[in-house]
Amino acid sequence: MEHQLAIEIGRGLAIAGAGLAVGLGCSGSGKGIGIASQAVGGVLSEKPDLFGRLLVLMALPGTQGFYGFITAILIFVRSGLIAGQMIITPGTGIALFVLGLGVGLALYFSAQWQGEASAASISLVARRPEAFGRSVILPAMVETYAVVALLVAILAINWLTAPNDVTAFIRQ
Amino acid sequence: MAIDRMKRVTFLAPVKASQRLLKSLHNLGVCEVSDVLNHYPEFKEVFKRPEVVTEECDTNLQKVQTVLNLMDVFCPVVKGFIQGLAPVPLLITKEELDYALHKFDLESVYQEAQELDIEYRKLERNVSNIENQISELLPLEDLPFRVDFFRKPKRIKLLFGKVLYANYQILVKDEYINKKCAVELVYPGRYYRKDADSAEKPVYGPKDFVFVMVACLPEDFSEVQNKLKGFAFEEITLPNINGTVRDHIRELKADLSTLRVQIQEIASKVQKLSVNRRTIEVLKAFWENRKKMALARTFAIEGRWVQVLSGYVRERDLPKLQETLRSEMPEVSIFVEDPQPGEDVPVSITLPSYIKPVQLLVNMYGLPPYDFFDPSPYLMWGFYLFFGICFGDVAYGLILLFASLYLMKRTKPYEGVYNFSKLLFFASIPTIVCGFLFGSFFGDLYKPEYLGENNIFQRIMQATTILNPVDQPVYLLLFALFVGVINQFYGIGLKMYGMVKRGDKMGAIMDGLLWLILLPGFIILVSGMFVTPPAWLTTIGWILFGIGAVGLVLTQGRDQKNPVARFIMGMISLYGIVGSYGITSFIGDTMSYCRLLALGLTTSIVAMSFNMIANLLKPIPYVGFIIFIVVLIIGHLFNFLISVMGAFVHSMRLILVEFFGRFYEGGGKPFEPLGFDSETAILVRGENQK
Repeated sequence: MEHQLAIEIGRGLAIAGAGLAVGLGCSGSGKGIGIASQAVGGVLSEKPDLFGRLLVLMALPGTQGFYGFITAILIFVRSGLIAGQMIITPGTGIALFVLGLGVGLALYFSAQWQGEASAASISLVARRPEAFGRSVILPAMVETYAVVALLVAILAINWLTAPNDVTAFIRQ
Repeated sequence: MAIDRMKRVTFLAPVKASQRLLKSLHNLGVCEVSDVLNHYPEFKEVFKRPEVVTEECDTNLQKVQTVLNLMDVFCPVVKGFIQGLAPVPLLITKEELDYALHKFDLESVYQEAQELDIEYRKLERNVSNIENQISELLPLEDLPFRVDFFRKPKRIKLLFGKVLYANYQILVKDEYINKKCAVELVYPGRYYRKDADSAEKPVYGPKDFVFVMVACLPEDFSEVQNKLKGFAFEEITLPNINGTVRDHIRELKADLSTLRVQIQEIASKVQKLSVNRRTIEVLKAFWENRKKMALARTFAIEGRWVQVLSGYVRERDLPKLQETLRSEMPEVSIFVEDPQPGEDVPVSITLPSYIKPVQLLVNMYGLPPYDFFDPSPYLMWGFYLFFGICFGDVAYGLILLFASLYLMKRTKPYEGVYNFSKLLFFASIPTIVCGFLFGSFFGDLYKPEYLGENNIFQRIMQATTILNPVDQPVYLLLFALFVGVINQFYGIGLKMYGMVKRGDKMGAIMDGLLWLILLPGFIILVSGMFVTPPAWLTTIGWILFGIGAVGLVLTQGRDQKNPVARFIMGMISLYGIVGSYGITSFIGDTMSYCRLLALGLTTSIVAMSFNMIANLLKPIPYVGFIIFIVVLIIGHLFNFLISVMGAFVHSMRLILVEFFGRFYEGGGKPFEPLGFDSETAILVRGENQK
């Protein structure tokens, strides 16, 4: 019975972590796109024909929401919520919870700042539409750190839920 | 070679023939005009700049612009999504241009447009005038009395205004006010009827504003006004109209709709005019071009009899230029020279059609200087590989393949968009290959739970998959890092190539080769932290690292005169803040390639998630299967769009930041020959004319 409870706690913490990752990621993306779309709205009132290009810039901060989504889905799958009976110890559960929080924060802030960067790019494109290509790079610089966070999340989730695999790899 | 060899040409022409010379050059479209004084500054004293008049162009452009602006107001052109992404130039045929110039009566269209424009502006002014009046009157709409009556009384003065209801209650009890004037609350019109029940009147709270009418004798007027201010009474000046405010607003609204009908009439007239839109756009392109041609003369210099004009021409176009001028204008003499080192020569790049698409990335960063090399052929494999890993999915690759083929077919005449489509077309091939290798077909849609046991896709995918990144991300991570290391070394190699090409062989060894010795040694030593390499390999690692480190410490500070400073700079450069590269920069750059794994996983995991969600909905009775299909289509379409964007942007970033950072500077000036074709318009020539 106690064993059962421990597993329950572990799973619960893991899934709470997933919730944090997706929640913070999506809030950040929403905020980022919000910031960018205010800039787009202003530009479109003067130059409606830039819509297509601005749409791409506006959508860039949207990826963090998906990174959060991926983190959450991976936790769901690996913690046995969706299929299978994975055993999550409370220790792993805490780790996944903090991981979800950390990734979520990284996603939240990077999406917000990417929104600011996108807004800067948008005003660049508004003045010089031919600089579109270069302007896409600016927000992509910010996104790097969301990608790094996602990468660590993917690896950590995989390793935490399949510990044997890792040791086998590192200590060949 | 990718960067075209250029020649500098200088034309000497009689002043009288100078216009004709420019026209010939313009027709040929192979020569970029440059400032003569840049090449022969000593002529400045002797010659003067020709006077350039662009009045004809300017008037015509102004006319054309007026007409186009009017059309934009009433019948703007609706652009497709693709045109929104990249503006496509106007394709103009010779016949169209002839028609526009000789048969089309711009003057009458302009006259009509101008009249309509003036009329329209007048109406718009009236409309906004009336709208302002209405918005000013609206708060007073409910006033129950005729406003002209308010001004009628001669023996007493009337004051109208608003005040807080709480203040009103104190005001009516004020001794002075009661003695000197009569105060009455003005109820909105609909309550102010003799037969109306008093209970119908609105009930005000203390914070509501109420309208109040105050009557007093003329001699008390200013005193009363002052007294009322003490109650925060705001006097309202009533508009100068006859009848009630409500009636007046009704009249104004009627006027407004009449004006709107008139504007509608103008709109339909402009609609009729806009059948000529294309012709007018052709004229715009023509006159803009003419102006460009006229302004090109400002780069020339002239004396009393002779005009000197200079420019750049591609070596391969030179015979054509010489031949044409010899036959058309024998009085012009041409001098041909090679550009001097250090001269700011415009850069023209000719590439085979299979490399051309990646030139897009180079254009984004900036063209190479004339004495450098074009990086397009070298970055090609990297970009396609990165894109393939990030987007790797068989089905998405196929969709991209057909979509880009369709786009290529649709956009053939527009070079920029066409090349972009072609880039996507080429990128779809590594996408499909990576999809097979990493076992991704719409994520994991081929699995038995979706498409049934032992289906054909499952058999194909199982046969081709060598690694499943979702289950074994470490191997793909190592592969991504490996790609990063190779790409960085490749970049350093290209840097050496560029330096040798510029004649700096020692620089190539010191800033390039030494890093290529140090870094592999560094990698061997670092790998010792994770695995146990054989002893001889570790020794080799130490030797490489040692040779490289000593060499770099000795050479990286070579700009410093003081030997101590030189040594310190050399040490710091190993770390990487100063000098040509650095170990930390190398680690950072290589780690950046991890995004290949992350984005590759994103594509497949999001796809898998949609498959899973769709599958969860499948058991719903009757409609389950339809929902399954709909969720799959919407989900995958969404994932396709977001992943293709991510794959493109991040592959581009790896090229522009990590790869170009090693060796490439950009800063070349694009070659823009004087001619009709520009970014906004292209003259389509018949086959026989070219």
